[in-house]
Amino acid sequence: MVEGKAGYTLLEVLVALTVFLLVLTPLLTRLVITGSSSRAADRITAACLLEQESALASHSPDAVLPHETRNLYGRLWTVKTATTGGELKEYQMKAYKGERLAGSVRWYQYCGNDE
Amino acid sequence: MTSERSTIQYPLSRAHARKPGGCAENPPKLLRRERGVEARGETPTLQFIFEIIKPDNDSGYALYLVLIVLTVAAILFTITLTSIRNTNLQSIRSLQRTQADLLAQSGIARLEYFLNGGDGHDITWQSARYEERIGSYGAILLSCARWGAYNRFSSIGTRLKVSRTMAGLVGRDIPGVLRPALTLSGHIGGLVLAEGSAIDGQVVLHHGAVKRNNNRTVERGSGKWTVHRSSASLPFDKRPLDDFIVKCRTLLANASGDTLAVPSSITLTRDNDSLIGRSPLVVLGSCTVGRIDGAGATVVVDGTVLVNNSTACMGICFVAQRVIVEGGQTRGCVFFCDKPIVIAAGTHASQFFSTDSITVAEDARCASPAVLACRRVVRPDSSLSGCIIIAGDCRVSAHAICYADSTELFRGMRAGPGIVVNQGAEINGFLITDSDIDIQAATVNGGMYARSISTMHNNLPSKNWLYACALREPGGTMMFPLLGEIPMRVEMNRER
Repeated sequence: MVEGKAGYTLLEVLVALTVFLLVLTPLLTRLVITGSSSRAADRITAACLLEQESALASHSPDAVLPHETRNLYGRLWTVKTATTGGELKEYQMKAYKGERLAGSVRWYQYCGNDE
Repeated sequence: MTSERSTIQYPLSRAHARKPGGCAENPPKLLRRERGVEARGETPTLQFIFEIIKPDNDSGYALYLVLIVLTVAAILFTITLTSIRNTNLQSIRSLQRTQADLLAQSGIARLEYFLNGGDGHDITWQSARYEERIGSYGAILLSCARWGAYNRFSSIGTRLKVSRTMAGLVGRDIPGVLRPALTLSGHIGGLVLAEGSAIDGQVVLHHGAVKRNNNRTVERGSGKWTVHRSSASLPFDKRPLDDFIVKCRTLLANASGDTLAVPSSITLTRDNDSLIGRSPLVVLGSCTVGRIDGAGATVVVDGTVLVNNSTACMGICFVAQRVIVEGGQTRGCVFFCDKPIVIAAGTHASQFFSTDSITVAEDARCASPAVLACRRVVRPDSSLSGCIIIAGDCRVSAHAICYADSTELFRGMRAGPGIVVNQGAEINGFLITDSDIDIQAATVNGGMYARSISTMHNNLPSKNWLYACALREPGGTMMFPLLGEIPMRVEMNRER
């Protein structure tokens, strides 16, 4: 038996690092993907919400509120609508999750023959 | 046993454990490694693997191990990044698709604004390319062209890298002047409902009352739904229809002089649809229509267009010397010729224009948004040619329009009825003529607008007698041609 200083050989360190990476990489990956998926889900939710609200605005322009809140799965979403123009109105609609802007849309709508 | 500086000895097995005071007797053959590397604790298996990898080399294994680790890490890292990127892209594209969809709809709103007189335009507005940028948000590309009695439109909304297209036919809602179930613009006056005829809606007469059967009993309650006023011969300005017919005739007249014309007869199918990439395609022969989607192309045929049972055609305007319809299915097409058109069979959601007669046979079906348009001309014997004939027991969802050219001397000419509806026919649409309608024992879900009702019953002529007919309001939304007064609401028949 060799008597020497306490420590680890380079090989042991590399093996240990390998094991460490093999365990850590999936964890980190899952963490990053979850965070990224959460933001992606917010964008998709915003897109669906804006699509619904714009369809409602198309059918009932007078019923559009400048500030509307929706509760989706325990989260508060806010839809803010601004309109400009006369016969051909321009709508700008933005969806916020809390305070963060998640998506926005702009479109024209003809209101000239509304009785 | 202490290893020497340059050699390593592996632990001996029990059988060969050293004896006190001396070296092991008959030590086993050991694997050796050179160059002062202590490998305390290495098992024979690991050593064996290393010897296979690097049998006779002194440089070590660390580099390979590092490379393997880095490779694995790089692969995992790449997969992770790709997954994150794809997820992000999908969500961003989803939002951009919604935004581009709304931009494409905005193009239609812009179209409706122009057709309703916005920015100095009118119902005849057309444009090959109208582009509008909405700051740095996106762009709308709009095109609109006359397509028979309707317009053909395309609206492309672009948001960053995502584009969405909406295209199809655009018409309008039913004009206010056509809201009554029956309008008689002539000055004969009065109306008699006979043999169980019923009208669900308003009746507009120049004068006179609505009576029942023997022309003596005033129909009960008719005072509430009868309106007396002077009506124009047609409920809309016919110039868009005239302009379209003139344009078709011009194309036909110039066909023989086209240097790029196809010199022989052809069959149009998907296999040769590259021909219609050049619009208009001119054929100096006959054209048999197969299965094809023209997407708004025009085909000028200096011969006969044949639509038969193997036809499945969409979105082509055919201008021909003659049109024969024996069957098949057409949708969103326009057919024009100066000769009579007989729609013998098939299902046709298309428009038919003629300066002679148009006949819909019993086996044929017309589906919305079909239009039968006949422009009457003066014959040598000073009579007016042309009419629209709907066979008995026929099911037609179409608007029928028969009128005389404004340049013709209509007054004093012998003119038969503009529209003839035979017994048992059922029409979902409007029958509009500046002449008479000959109708008996038929159902009209829409409305009638004519000078008078002129028919033969028991071999006796009668004027403004409605025999066994039912006039009802249209059920649901009905797309009407782009004619008439504004304001209007645009109706679309989307193809994309």
